[in-house]
Amino acid sequence: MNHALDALQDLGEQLERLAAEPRTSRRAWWPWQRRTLAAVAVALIAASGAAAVTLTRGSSPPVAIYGMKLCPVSYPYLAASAPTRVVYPTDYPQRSIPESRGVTCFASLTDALDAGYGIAPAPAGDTRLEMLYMQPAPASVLSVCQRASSEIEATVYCPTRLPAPWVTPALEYECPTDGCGVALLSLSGSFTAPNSYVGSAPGVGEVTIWQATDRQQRLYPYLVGCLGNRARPIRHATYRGNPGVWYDCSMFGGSTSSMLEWHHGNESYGISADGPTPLRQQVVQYIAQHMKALN
Amino acid sequence: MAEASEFIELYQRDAQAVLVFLTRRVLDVEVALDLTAETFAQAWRGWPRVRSGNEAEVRGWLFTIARRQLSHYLRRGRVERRALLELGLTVPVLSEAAATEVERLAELDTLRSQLDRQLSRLSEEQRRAIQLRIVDELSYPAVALELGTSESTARARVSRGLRTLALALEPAVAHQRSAP
Repeated sequence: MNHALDALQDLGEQLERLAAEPRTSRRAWWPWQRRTLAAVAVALIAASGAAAVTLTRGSSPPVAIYGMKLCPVSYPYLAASAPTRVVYPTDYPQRSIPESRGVTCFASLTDALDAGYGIAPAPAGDTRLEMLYMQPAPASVLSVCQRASSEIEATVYCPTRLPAPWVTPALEYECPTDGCGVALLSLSGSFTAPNSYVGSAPGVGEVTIWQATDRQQRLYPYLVGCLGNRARPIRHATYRGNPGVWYDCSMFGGSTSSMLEWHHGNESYGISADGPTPLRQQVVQYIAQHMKALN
Repeated sequence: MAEASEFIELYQRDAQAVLVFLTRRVLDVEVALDLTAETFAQAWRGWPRVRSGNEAEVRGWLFTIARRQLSHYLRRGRVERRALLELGLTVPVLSEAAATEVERLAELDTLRSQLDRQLSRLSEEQRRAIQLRIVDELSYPAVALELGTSESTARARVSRGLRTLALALEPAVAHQRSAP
C-alpha cells in the first residue's frame, strides 16, 4: 500500500487490532434485537408474577440487566410453560406473543423442543417458512413499485409479502437517465433472522427484486442479476406463463444466493435471496407466488 | 475458513484499489473513503465464510461488496455504516495531502472535465449541487450553504445527480473493470 495514504493506514491499523481479538467477543446484537428481547422478556416476566422459573438442560433463567429481565445472549430462545407450553423463535413477531407464565430461556430451539416445548404457531396472517416469518410487505414497498410503474413502460412486479422483520427503511428504483426512459427497478433490502440463518451475515438475509433490459443488465451488474457473482443455471422454470430459469449465484464455488429469473416482453425480471439451502429457494418461491403485477 | 492474518493481507493488497475504484464512481474522495471503510467492515464480518485461497476470487468477492455499497449509496443518497458501527470502527479523517494523492491515482481531473460536459443532462438543482461539490470541490456544509438547503439534502442532490450521470460516465470508467 502507498503509505502516503495515511487514512487507509489508520483504517488498516483498526482492522489489525480487530483481527487480533477473538472473533466471538465481537458478536454484537442489533439494537432492535436487544429492544425486542427486553420488551418481550419484561412483558412475560411481569405476566408471570411469582411463577417459578423452570430449569432444564440447555436453559437458563432470565437475568436482570439495568432493571430489566432479559434472556441471556447464550440462551436467546424464550419459552413459556403457560397457558401453552411453547417456545418462541428469536424472530417471532413481538406483537403477537400472548401473556404467558413460567418463563425459561433456552440455548437453542432444539433444547427447547427436547424439553417438551412446541414451536409457537405463526400469528394470524403470517406464514412461517422454517425459522422465517413472512408478512405483508411494508407500504413503502408498494409505493415505490407504483412510482416505478408510472415511469417504466413495462409490467412491474411488486412483492406483497416479504420476510419479517424487514429492516430496510427505504427502497428506491433506479432511474439512470433523464425522464426515466431506461429506468430499471432494483428493490433490495435486508431482513433479520436467527443466527443460524446465514445470509449476507449470520442472522441477516438480503432479498433483491429487479427488472431490467439486457443492456441495463450489462451496465449495472451490481444492481441486477446475480449482483456481480457467478450465475449457474440450475433448472428451467415457468413464471406465470413466462419462461424462466433458476440460478445459483456462487462465490468461491459455494452457493450464496438463489435467483429466479424470467422474461416478459423486452424485460428480464428476477428475485434473489441469500441464506441457507434450500430455505432461500423457498423464500424466493414464496415471494414470487405473492407478486402483484402492475401495468 | 481463511485466517485473520490473510484478511489483513487482503486489506494491504486491495484497499487502495477499492478506494480508487469507488472514487472514480462517486468522484468524491471523502464519500469513497466512507464506502471503502464500510466495504472492509462488511468483508471482515463475512470473512469466516471465505474458504478459497484463490486471490482473484477473493478480490472479486471484495469488489462485489464494494459495488453493493456503491449501489446503496446511489440509491439512498447516504453511506451505509451498519458494519462499521457494529464492529466499532471509525472512518479516518482524510488529510488534504491524502485526498490529493487519491484524486491523482483515480485521475479525477480527467473525469471531472468529462463530467463538466455532461452536466447539461441534469436538472438545475442537481447540476448546481454537482458543480459545487464535484467540480468546485466545496465541502458539503459549504454546498448546503450555497444551495440554501440542509447538508443531507445537498448530499442527496449530489448522489442523485451522479446516478443520473452514471450512464454517461460508464464508458469513461469501463476500463477500471479489468482491475477487480
